[in-house]
Amino acid sequence: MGLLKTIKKRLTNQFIGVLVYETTCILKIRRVKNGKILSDEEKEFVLQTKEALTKEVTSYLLALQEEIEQTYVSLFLNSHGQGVVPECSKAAYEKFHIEYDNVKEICVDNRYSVYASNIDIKWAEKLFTDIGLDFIFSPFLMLDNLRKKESRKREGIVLYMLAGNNSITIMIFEKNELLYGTFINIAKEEDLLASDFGEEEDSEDELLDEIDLDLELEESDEISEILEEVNEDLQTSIQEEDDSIKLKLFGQDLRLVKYFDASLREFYENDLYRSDFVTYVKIYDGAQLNPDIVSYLKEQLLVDIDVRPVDIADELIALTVQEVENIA
Amino acid sequence: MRSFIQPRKKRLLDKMSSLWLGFIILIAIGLIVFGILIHYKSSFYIKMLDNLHQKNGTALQKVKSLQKEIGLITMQGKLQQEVVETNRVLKESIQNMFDLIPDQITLTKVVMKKESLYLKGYTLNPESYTLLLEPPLKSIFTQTKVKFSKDERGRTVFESFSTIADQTLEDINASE
Repeated sequence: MGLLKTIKKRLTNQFIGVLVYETTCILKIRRVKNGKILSDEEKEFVLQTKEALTKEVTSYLLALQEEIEQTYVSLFLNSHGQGVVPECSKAAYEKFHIEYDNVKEICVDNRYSVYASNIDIKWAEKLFTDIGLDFIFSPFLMLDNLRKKESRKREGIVLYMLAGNNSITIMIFEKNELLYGTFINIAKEEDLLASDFGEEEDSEDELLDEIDLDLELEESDEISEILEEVNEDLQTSIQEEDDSIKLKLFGQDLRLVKYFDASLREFYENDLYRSDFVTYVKIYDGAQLNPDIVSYLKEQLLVDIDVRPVDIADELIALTVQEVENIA
Repeated sequence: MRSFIQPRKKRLLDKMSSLWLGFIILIAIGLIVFGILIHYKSSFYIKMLDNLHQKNGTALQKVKSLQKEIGLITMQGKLQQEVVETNRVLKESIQNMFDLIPDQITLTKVVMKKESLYLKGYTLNPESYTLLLEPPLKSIFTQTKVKFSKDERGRTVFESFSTIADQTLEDINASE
């Protein structure tokens, strides 16, 4: 096996990271030979629907694969039907009301397990039937990968968030132990494949989507109440400022904030999770977040927030390279 | 495994290269097989050659011994011929000699040698010897001597010695 590995390393390896969003498809193509990067390329294609790749994308990817035999195509899974469970056992899945038989789970370092619904995996495979697909990576893996790279280890409970173009991934860690994790699609369009895997967010999504920005403060909605409660605790001046920030947010940004709040509430209130106050927030920004979101979250949580810009496509390639090295 | 699906199997080479590689490997195998075949065949021939060499060696030895035998036999043949020849010559000379002897003379002893002739016998009288036997002896030999004596019964005994070399009767007696 070692010989094969060395031979493979000496050949040109092509790693293609695919990010499928609602209206765009981003391809990151990296060619590596003998540990050296030969080329790095990023391409963006317009998509009509998330259900199928356009002919343009298909033919482009096929041509790339035709060119180099050692091509690894990996997909960043950003559909609704996935999540993370802080344990690896089947019993844990039952505890979190997840139908174990309908999902594919991967136990990570015996610390936690990520899962995706069979429907979503089928969707991804169907998307790539003509092209072929090697890896489907959970965003949780990417987030954990980023977390592990962090040189400074924070004490206490740390919230890590990966902000993508159409999703947020949240993981709350205490040292190396995962306490809570959630993935939320914040795209405008409803994910057609959203499935009920016991994620409370699902039901809340609908509620939250109905809330109009102008009405938010008057609405007796759960979220607004919480927001109000928090706001009331703050000084008037801050509250004014807060309102002004909130007023600046709309559309996807607003949804992001709402879902973030909802997730945090879920973490605090649901007895399934061993919760304590989050002392630090690290945001990996892969979508050029509105700075107002960060300042809003800062006001809300009253904790330090560190934002680091990342390129999700690059991170996807990094995951792929790691995985290829592991399996070879 | 951290991916939700298994990666596709990757070929180390593209279709064309693997086709070529397969072709080359096939040819290489063919050549190796052919080489092995030739090797075996040649070793077989080498063995055969060794065998033949051995056979050749023994045959050569046989030839040598046969040649020796032939030499021996030819020598024997020659010897035999020589013997026959000398016997014939001897017979002739004996015949000639007996032809020389007249009726009045009786021989009792003849010693024939290569260069000499010794005769002993009875004669009626010394004259008949000198008349009848001496002339032919003298014509053959360079030297001829004769001695006459009488035996107890009163017969005349002659002893003649003829030679082509300078030999005396005494020499003959001595040699005897």
